[in-house]
Amino acid sequence: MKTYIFCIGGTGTRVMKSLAMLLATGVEIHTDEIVPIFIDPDASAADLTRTISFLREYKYMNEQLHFSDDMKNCFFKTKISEGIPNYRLELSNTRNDRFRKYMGFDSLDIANQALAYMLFSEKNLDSDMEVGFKGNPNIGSVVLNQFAQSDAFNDFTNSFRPGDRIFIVSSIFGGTGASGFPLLLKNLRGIDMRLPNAGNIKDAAIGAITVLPYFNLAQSQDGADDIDSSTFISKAKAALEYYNKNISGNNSLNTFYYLADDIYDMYEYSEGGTTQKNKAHIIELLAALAVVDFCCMDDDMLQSSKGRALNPVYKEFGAASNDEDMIFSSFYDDTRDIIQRPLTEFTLFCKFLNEHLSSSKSHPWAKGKRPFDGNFFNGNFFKSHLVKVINEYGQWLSEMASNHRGFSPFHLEEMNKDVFGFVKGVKPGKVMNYRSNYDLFDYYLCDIEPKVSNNLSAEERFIELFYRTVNKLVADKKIA
Amino acid sequence: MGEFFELLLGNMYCWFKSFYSDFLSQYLWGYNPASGAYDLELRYNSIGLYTLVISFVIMALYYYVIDHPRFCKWWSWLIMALLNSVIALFVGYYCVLSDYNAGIIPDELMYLRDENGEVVQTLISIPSECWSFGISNMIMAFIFFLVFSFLFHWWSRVAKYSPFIKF
Repeated sequence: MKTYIFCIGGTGTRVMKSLAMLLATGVEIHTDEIVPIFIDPDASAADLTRTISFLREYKYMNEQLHFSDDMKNCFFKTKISEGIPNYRLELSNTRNDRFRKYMGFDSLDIANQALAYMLFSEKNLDSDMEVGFKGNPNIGSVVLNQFAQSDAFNDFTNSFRPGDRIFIVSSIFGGTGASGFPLLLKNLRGIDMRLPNAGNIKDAAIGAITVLPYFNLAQSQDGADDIDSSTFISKAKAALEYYNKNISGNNSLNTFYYLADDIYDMYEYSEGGTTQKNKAHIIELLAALAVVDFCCMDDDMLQSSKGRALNPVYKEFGAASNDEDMIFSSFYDDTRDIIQRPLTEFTLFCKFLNEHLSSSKSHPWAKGKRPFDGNFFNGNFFKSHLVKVINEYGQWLSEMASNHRGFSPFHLEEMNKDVFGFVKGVKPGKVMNYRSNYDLFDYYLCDIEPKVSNNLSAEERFIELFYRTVNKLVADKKIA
Repeated sequence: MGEFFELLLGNMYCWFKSFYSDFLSQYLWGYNPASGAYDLELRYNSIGLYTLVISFVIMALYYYVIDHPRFCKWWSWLIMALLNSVIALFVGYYCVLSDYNAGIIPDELMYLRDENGEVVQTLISIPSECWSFGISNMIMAFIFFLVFSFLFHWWSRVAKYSPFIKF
């Protein structure tokens, strides 16, 4: 069973990145494959390029590991496929084009031009669509209505199989997400029946999350910025009213998640392009957990008929505490059970590679029957890909920790005298072993290495060895 | 075959016989001047067994108990080997000295006496020969430790390749 995830706009992109991070750590998700599809006219947005770059690294890692019966490893286990070229649903005629030209304003008769003036301001008509819709859903609703005609959408319908699911991620307070989500949903539930697999898509299990405002944008002093974050709330209210009638009101979705917060951080102003590089945020992580939750739902709960959900479910997220810097204990058990162990294991793995690997390579775990030698550590897998993934993951954690509301479950700084005390709010347990810190890690590596199958490739053996080791350490030290 | 093993340790000690006198060696072989036969306790075997056991314990301590990531280099092994040898030095010294103090070493092997029973020459000088035998025991202990290390290092977790470094 595949799960197609339509990620609309900047928020959709960052949520997908959070989901990919979670999957890298081995968070369990009940789907065989994730197929991300980005809908964002701003092809050069830094968030989008960063996310696609990470997805490529993830895909490489996943392809190197074959998850046979010899492997217990859960890192990078879920397949993330490039369902459409470059993961991106290309929108035609948006590059270097003004909205006025796109909609053929000049060829409209006077009556229609007057109508257009009622719907779009002069600034709207003159806006360049290459960097998105700059918080204007009225523009987005016109431009995005074309994606059902695109080749990429055709690729999607061709590859869709009965039992596959669809999830849509968008924000409600911007331009692209707020306008793209209802349009996409309309195009899925009311799909052109001439398209391949149209029947399956029309009655597919479709879930969505809409993210309410969770950050503000710093405004320039002259107030000339196109995107005004003071309008986020009013836009969200208007969109909610629309969703009430046209999405939840007509049972378009099987599961609809709402996510909101009342603590905002102020982001540097960016209209898009290479400067749109927002820090990762806990809200995006929680939105990614909505995908995990959706995939866990029974098929019986997600039945649809004639493009309408039979038992629609609406969900919100609740936290156990209102901490400004959240840690694992800020969540309820259900959330902790999903993320604490995988995140802790992967973070410990990353910390070892960053802080201790160079002094550990001389130990027997690296010099067994099939050693991890200079060729391995200077090779493509380790040096060009794994290190990159580890760095990206570390940066993602750091960004979430520095954001507001923050999510900072780990001490990311080096703690050589208390290596296992890196999980905030958790006191490591005692183990019946006189070795401690990285010495204990090395000892476990040496203990486990002979038990890892020699039938695996060097890449698989390396990840398997470390997965088993951190898994045992985290269990023995009771830190997750 | 039984005789081979019975005499094995003694023969090994004899590689280093030049460190001490033939008289001490004869005592350690169990020679009884009164009967002219080797019917006393074969001390090479008993002292050799102590040394073997100590070497095995130190080896096991290093490879299976300590087995520490920061104490598994060639120099760590050397420290343990030297510790083992020093213990063996004192064991060798103490065994000969205690035999002397207990009067177990036959007088004929200890002294050359004239007709009146006066000591003309000391054949085994104490304590210098105790130290000399201790040194040969020390070398034996090093050999035992090396052999045990060869045999048993494979099953260690961390010190598996110490001191036999795998490049």
